[in-house]
Amino acid sequence: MPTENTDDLIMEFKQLTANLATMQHQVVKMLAENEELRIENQHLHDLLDAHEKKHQGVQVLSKSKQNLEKLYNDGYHICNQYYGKSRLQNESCIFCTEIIYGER
Amino acid sequence: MNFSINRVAFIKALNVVQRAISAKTTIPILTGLKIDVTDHEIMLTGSNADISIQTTISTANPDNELQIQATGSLVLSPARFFAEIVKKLPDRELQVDVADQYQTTIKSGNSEFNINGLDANGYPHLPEIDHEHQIELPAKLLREVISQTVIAVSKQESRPILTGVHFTLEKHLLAVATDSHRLSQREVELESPLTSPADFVIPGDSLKELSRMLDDEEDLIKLSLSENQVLFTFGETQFYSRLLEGNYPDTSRLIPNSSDTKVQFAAGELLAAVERASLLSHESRNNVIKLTIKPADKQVMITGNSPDVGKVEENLEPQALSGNDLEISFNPDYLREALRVFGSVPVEVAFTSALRPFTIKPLERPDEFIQLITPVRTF
Repeated sequence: MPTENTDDLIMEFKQLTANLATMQHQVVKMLAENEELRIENQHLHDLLDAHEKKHQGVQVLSKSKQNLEKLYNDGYHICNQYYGKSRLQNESCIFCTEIIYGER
Repeated sequence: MNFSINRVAFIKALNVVQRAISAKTTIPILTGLKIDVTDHEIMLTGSNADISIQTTISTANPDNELQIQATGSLVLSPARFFAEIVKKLPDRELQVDVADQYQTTIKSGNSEFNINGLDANGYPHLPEIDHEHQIELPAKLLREVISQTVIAVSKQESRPILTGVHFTLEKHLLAVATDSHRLSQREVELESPLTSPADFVIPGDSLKELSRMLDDEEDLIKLSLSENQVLFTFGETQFYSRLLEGNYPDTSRLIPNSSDTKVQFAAGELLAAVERASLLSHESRNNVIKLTIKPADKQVMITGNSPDVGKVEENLEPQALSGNDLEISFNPDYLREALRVFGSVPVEVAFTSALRPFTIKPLERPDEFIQLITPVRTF
């Protein structure tokens, strides 16, 4: 019977849509959770690194220098000459490293 | 203008001046050769706006067989064409005669060329030179200073000021070049210090050209300054170069004053090892090699790695080794170019940390010459 078949199909589709919606919801929730955990993990790693460095007697950078270091490691110049320009092919820059790690 | 001259002597002078003349130039008259004839000498000038070369042929030197009948100035364009003619002329002498409208006749043996010249007033004037800022250096020393610094000059036109070598003259001559990845600095004691200090930036390309011209020179080279040009005088020749405009970044504080780890090598041996390791790093995307230093175990290891191809490890044999353990990664090409200028002398490589530049100095006279290379962060 054609009508019965269509009804079945419609039912099936409704079920699928509902499933899909739940799944989407779950994915979003998981992504959010993942991001939270990632940030949390980063914080913990930072703490751990700072702790380890203190133990080894390596200089610990000030907050502002850490920010500069982060920008530099993200691929941007932070030196006076090329401030804000991206570092081509992640090449090292003598002026940036002086500002971040220099003895000033 | 009318003169006759020994052809070989004339060709020699033409070859010198032609180094500056380029067929591609934005100012058409610069494709030409300028000839000025005065009572006792001929002066040839060639220029490409960046560099200008002037050389004189004097009646005082009998080899020139120079006889001047009439003075005057003229531009012959293109210079290459004129030089080809002179080189192919049949006789050992040639005669140049300029008539009205710059009609130039070149005669040698049975051959006679008629070519069109140009008014020399259309040719740019070379700058007046300031004699207050003047120093003299032996040609060999100047060649050395150039070869040690031009390697670090930037090749990127986006950073114009870094495409030159920064000279500071006072009690010493200090030459610095950096492309922001590495730096090279040479210091030379001046015999007669300048009364007032000067600093200027000479384009790296000009210095390379100058260095080529100094190959056979042995005498003193005189360096003088003007507003925006520098002049090198040697023998019969004057070499002008434009200076780069702008402020050169302060490089004095880039050079570390202390170090934690020091290693001594024979420059040649380290160079060979770096070249081997770079064979693999060149195949990898980021072109980095790693140096692992363990002073306690007397071990220095160089590693090159390319995920697609494979890896190389080599234990080095340093002549001396002291300080803390260190692992540092960097672009091998910079170290290779740096080591090449040292030849086979012993060098000291000094490190502060894995993230700060390391230095390379000759063991003998370490205050004169220093090179810096920035490490690359690896994850």
